[in-house]
Amino acid sequence: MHKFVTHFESDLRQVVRRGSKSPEFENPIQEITGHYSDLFEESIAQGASEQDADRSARERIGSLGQIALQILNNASRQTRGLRIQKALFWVPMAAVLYFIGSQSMLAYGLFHWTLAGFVPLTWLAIASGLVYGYGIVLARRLLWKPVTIACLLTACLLFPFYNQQRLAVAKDKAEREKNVKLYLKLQPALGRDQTAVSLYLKDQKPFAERNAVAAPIIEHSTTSKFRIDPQAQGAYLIPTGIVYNQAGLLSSYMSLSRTNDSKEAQKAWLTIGRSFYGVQDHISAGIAESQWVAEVRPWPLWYVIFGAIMVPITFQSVFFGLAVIGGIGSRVWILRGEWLRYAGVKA
Amino acid sequence: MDFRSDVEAMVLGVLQHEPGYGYEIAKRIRELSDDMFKYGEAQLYPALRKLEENGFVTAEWVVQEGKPNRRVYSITDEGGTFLLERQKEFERFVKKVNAVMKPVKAWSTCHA
Repeated sequence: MHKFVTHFESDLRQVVRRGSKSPEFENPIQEITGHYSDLFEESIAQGASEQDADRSARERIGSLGQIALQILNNASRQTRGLRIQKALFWVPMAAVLYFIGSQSMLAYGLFHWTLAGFVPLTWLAIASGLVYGYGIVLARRLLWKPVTIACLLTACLLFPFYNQQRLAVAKDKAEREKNVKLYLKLQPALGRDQTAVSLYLKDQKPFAERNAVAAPIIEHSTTSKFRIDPQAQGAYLIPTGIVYNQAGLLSSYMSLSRTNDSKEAQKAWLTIGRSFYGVQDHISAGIAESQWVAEVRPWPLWYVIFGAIMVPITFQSVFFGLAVIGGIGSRVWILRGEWLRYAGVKA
Repeated sequence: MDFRSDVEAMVLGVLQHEPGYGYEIAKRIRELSDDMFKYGEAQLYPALRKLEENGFVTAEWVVQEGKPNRRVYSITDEGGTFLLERQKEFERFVKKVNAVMKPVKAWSTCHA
């Protein structure tokens, strides 16, 4: 083959491969190269130099980028569908990273930021889900490799959250019963040992028995992070940082610490009780004869493992659920277009 | 309906005479239409691909020594039927256009 033809073929192949490496594109590349070769020879036959013939043939052929795009766009449905799926593989990853980021933000109490930031991500996930679905329908097959990698990576990225003992996230719920009993249930978002922290007034529950097996057991590591030491016994869980939301209510975040001093613990909780619940008298009455303690119930390991598997799968299920909906929707849209063309409404 | 953009019918019109490859088809269209229709590769090959998908043409590779192989296209019976339909449609179109545009008096061809 002439060196100019070889050169053109190599250029075209390079541009097409940027879009896809599918062997399906071999034939169009050959065909366009043949076309270039004919145009080149036509110019040579008319007396042009090789350089001029090359320039002229390339001009008549048009932009290589556009030709490559044509080739890629005219690929089979399956190749196009698979390309879409490959191209969108990073989207669930981005969503996962963001999700993890939002968890970190939760840990630092930036709840409003998290909520605000989550909205565009949701739309992005939905939009990409629709396009992904279109890819699945086009290809009529689901590309398992990216899905598997996505699920595994999601699991790996999320798993540390089950072991990382961040501060407990307090649930905005306090139940008062009678006049001396107060429950404040703390619920962390994700965390193996920090979940289900319940605070009791000792005198209203048979807490002496519980106390023997499940004393508060939090070892303070930083101001906003705790590591639970299952061996620790007899310490008191105390609030060190309380966040109020805009309505003046206790938000979902609470920094906790540990103390061995029961008076310090009482004082800390009493302060919260006064400022938040407005039931100072009752609490005071309770505290006068009670001891504030916390019970920490770690999640069992099987629950952690189950969660580590199920959370990402659920997350991906939602994503692919959207994809399927999007796929069906896009198929309907295509059929509509075909029908319109058939009916002569659309050229 | 824009028949200028009906590349598929044009290609079939050329192929009904004899089989041809991309460059040849484009050249024949250009020659037969006195350079009125100059289809670039960006229009020609997608049209050929679509015709092939619809079964209106078949293609086979012809191996060439020292040159890129050629893909030669031939019209099928279905392609011939489709071409006939397009021709009839075009005739109807021309008839309607004439009915509307036909001058009713002798207009001067140049303006003062």
